[in-house]
Amino acid sequence: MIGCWQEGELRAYLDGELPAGDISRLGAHLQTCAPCRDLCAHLERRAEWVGSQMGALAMQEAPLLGTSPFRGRGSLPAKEPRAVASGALAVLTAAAAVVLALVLLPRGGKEPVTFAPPPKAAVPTAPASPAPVTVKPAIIRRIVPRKKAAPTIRPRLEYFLALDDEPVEAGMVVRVALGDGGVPADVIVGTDGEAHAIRLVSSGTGDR
Amino acid sequence: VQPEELALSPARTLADNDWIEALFRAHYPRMVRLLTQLTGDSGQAEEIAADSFAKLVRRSALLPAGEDAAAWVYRVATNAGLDALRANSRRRKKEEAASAERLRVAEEPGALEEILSRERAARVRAVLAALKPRDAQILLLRSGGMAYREIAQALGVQASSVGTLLARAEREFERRYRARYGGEI
Repeated sequence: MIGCWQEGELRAYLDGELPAGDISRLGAHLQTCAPCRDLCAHLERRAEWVGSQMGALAMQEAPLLGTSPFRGRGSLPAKEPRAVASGALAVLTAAAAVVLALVLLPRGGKEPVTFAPPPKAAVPTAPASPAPVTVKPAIIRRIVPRKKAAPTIRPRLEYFLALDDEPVEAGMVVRVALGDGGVPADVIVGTDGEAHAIRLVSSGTGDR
Repeated sequence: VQPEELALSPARTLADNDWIEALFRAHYPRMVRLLTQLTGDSGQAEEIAADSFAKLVRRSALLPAGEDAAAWVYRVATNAGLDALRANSRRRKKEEAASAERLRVAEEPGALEEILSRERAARVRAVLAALKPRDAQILLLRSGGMAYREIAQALGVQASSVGTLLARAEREFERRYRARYGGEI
């Protein structure tokens, strides 16, 4: 045990935080000293375990705040924001696709929908034939509800409480007021006229 | 800090806060990230970090001689973060209840992983809150990637003693974690 190193020095050795000369001397000592080697291995296991536990905090919060590792210079890393941005883009794209699909579905009694390549329809050029004239206002009209439909992806965290075991295949949501206090709630009324599910409307959910 | 220990640095005057702004730009995002990990609340983390820099602006002329301003802000911010962490114990209980609620509706892909991740983080925060502030601080700063020299500055200790303090903090973290949660590792 003569010439053994302190626990703190062993810990710093594991992190490569000792001066270069000390690192080589301590490394040579570990070759010959079993107790120090055992202690070093123990410290290493514990450090890895604690590091993994602390890493759980970083893993959980990383999507919330895509800042750089501490040694960075404060600039945002490329990966995480891109991942978040691409995820948001995918959601928006999907939402836009759904909205477009709903809007572009042919409806009875209305003017026939004529599909033209979007770039051509969007360019306000002088019409060469009657066909583009009918397409152009239709495209403009379709763009408007895209913005209005965006909030439909919001009510994801609100869950209905089933009032019975029957599956609800079709029905409508009715806003009601419960009790004397008029607590707002949404009720799903099925085609049989019975209420099948309910959820309370919290004050933080706005006007839904 | 005694009055004789205080020094008015010509470079640190309230009239010239450019250096504070540079410090803010360099460290605010990292500080918020550290505090978010600690408290689990990004909004609260931003608030604490902003308050810490506001304190620096108000007291910049009174920093002790030789005191590193960045280290001072980190010390103030992590102390405040630990205080908030302890005060958040009620919120943590709500989070645990919310986890149980999510279990009921865990039909979405990845829900289980999210629940486990949240519970794991909640355990770590609970243990950190039970540690001595310096132990929790050194674990937090080290996990944030700080070098020993930076940790020493932030905690106001010698760089040569960081290894000892870190080993002690890790031992205490493991002991408390096992005592609280058993052998689950």
